[in-house]
Amino acid sequence: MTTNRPETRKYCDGQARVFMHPDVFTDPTRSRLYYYCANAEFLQTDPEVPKSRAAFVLSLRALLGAYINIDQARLGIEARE
Amino acid sequence: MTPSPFGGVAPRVPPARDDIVFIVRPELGPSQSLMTLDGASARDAVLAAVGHDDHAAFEAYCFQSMIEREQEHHEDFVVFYHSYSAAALLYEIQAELARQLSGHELPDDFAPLPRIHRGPFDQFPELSMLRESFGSLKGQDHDPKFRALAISVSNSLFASGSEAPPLTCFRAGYSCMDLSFRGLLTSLLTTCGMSEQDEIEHLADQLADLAEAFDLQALPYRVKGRDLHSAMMLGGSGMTNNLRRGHMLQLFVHKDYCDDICYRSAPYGKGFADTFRFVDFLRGKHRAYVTFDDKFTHSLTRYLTHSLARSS
Repeated sequence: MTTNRPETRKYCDGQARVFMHPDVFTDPTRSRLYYYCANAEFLQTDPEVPKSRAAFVLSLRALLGAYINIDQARLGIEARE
Repeated sequence: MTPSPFGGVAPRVPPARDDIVFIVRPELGPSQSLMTLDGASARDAVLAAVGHDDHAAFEAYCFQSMIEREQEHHEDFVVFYHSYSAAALLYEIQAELARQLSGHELPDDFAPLPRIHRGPFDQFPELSMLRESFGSLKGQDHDPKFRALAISVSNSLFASGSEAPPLTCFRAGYSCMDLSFRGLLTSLLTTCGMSEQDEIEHLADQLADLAEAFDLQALPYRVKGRDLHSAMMLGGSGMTNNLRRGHMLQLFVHKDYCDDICYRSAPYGKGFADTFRFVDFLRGKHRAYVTFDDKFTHSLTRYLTHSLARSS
């Protein structure tokens, strides 16, 4: 078992903050993101599984696509303030 | 697991209830989380966290996958864990927008994306600038300016020194309630070029319906204004430990960039005035603070975390 020595505690207490610039977190040379969830069905990658994340992504794409023009969205999302 | 260059994790068929195992495989190499405790302690911690119900085996499988991912990337990346629940729909929408913006270079199994709007990063293009202004931010890391740029993470799967210890938050997730998820969603839709308020509200309702159909938390996106806590307390959340609405991102940041965009912190995001560097931590110079040998602290943390998570 690990012991909580004061000299180790001062260095790292187990939490941090990450500056989440989307350019970094969509670049596999600088970052990798892995997703997990407690709902085993949602974590399935087969879109034929009714409540899988894969099926959700397809439904989400269809819904957003009916309302959002991606070229217009790009202007807003990538706009400089 | 099915390999994915961007990080989608393809699960196998969930293991059977009586197959609750967590195996540390030293032959796969070192792991950041395992730098803080030995394999037997890690196994004990995982098995204690998952319990013995119908979902325990699947959760243990996920934790083992996380450790194996750490071992795979240990040479070049520092790992962090981010637990969430109510933000799931927002992160999924942002991931889908990122896929579209990349011309579908990002695959369909690309992980949920916590931030996508680049505008706020122009005001604070570097983490150092955000940290320098931290003292002026009302509510510290709960300030909307801070939230637009950064997230809270744990730097070990076994860390218990945060508001959202990964092991104990995995099932129910973690969420703050002092913000309007509906407001964040409608703001994102506006950023995407939608201008008619009725249409924005209609799409927000439809997105909440979609979330509900897939057992993601929907109520936070139905509540208008910031009174999310009251709405949850009235019983509309459907948020119980059994509904398994916890989500977790395992973030690997390359060691060459890590100390430019990450910092260790106290609660509420306050940094420490020291020279700690994650790249040194990765090399074993520092050890993480964990409390699995402190049963009282661990039990208390777990109780508080689950109490908060269930109410969010």
